[in-house]
Amino acid sequence: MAARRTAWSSISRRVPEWVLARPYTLVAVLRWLNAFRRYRWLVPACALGAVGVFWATTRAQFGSALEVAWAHWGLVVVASGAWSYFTAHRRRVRIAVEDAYSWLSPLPVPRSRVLRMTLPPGLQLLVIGVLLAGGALSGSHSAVAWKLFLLFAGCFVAGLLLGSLTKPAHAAVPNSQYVRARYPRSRWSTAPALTPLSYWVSGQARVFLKPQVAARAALPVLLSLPMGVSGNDALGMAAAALVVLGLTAYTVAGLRVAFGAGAWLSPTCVDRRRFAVAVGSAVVLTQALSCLALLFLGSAVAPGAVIWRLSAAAVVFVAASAVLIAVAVRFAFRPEVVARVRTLAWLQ
Amino acid sequence: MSDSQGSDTIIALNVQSLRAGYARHTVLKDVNLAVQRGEWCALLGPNASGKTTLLHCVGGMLAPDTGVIEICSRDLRSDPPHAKQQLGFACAPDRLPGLLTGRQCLEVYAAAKGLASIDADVLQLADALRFTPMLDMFVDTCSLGTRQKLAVLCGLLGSPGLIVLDEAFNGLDPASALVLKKHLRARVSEGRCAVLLATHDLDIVEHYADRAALILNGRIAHEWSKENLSALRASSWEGIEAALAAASAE
Repeated sequence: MAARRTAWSSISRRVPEWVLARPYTLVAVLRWLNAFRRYRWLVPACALGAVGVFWATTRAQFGSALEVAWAHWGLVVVASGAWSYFTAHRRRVRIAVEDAYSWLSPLPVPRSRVLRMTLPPGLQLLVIGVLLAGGALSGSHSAVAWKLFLLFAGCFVAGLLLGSLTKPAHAAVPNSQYVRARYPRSRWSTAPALTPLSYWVSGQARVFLKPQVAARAALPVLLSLPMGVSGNDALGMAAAALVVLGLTAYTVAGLRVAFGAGAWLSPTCVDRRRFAVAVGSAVVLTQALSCLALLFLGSAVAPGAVIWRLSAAAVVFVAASAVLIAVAVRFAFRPEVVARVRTLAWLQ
Repeated sequence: MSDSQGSDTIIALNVQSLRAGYARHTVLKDVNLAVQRGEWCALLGPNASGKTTLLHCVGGMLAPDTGVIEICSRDLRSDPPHAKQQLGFACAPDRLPGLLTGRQCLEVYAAAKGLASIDADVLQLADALRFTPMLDMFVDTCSLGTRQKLAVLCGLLGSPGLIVLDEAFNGLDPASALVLKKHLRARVSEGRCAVLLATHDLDIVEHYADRAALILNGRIAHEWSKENLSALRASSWEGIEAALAAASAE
């Protein structure tokens, strides 16, 4: 049944009828409009960002970057296609989950799956096109910009089609009920401890490091092969990227758990230092052990000076993680900060 | 849309041999349930017995493995638009979109159902629930009770033939809960709809429901007809509670 504008309207008259007839799209549009109504600072921030980006596109360096990209057009083809493919595939899974969980699911309305699949990438392409057009109109790199845009857009659309048509490996239906994630500690009832917070961090890090994400992190490095980088170097760069991703994932997981668990436990009289140790220990220990193992293995092939520099970098990295988590714990127990972080969660 | 409206014997909900679950975990094994228009059916059962799963199947949010679900004689699988046209489903409050206002949520729901205006009785109910001042608040700034009211109001839009509520009185203050119970009872008594309510609140079973069904381990283990409930009401308060305990223990 086609939706109509009700007499009791709270929705702006500027929202077109075709959007109104598609509740899933309508809700997405309303969320964006409301976000700008609610967070007034977003308007000047976005305007400032747009001006900054536009200014950057008019610089000569931007033109040089376009020339380099055009010279390595194979990289552009693979990068835009892969990006579009992965985002389309992820969007397809997300739409399937949304169809099962959404508050609009029980309604007799069209799901508008095609529109939901194509509108966000279409907007992305439009923004990229506008940026390149802005740069082309003001600079001398118009020919390269247009050629690059056409190449990028073609591969983007191809990736989008491929990603939209690829069936998800697992059915995107609710399937998370009653999953036993970890057997309980034997003394959980007689000697309760904050230890499970460290399990939470490890679990969160594993989620961040699932194979799809790790593979994507290594992909750009492997793409450097067509640019003349040797196979050994490319593999080394891929390994380094994975190590950095792994270590960073633990830091981000620690920060996330600090805020999540802090909001949950702030009404209790939990000692903040104990809390910080429980959350941070998993991060620091895992990172320290990983770095030690890697340095030990690296010492067999790399010169001593390099190992010393890497050791210093590892110490700084682990120390920075510890400091970041300590600061996060301090903020996590302040309800106003937690509320703000949560309210902005939609931006992620 | 309402081909058999006005008939006393119309089946608002017909569930036959329903089997459903999540991935490898089967929750509903063989559920058979029929609710007539003009009937308030309370769905009882312990936690994790399959009440919400059954309601999600009825709401079209979870595709069953096997079985038939008919809403006002329309098959949900083969004719979802017409079946859902007769369905009023109050979603869980945490599923409402946080960045929309209450008014926008109602309007989106009404527009999606093809209504030209918000039903007058829903607006009256919003007033009676003291929800009107909260209409222009963002959903994520509202309390649980307020979001619960909004979810129920959305479900009542468009005079549905079947109203499905999942523990819809959770979080409501006693006065609002009473207003809502009376409103639903009036709709049911006028024969405008049937209500299927999953609840743990035996007060509703005692004072408002016409029928009750107990779901245990994914099956309807026991049903109490209108007469059974009347007899239990006449006996004592412990009558319903004891009957439920006895049926659960069987």
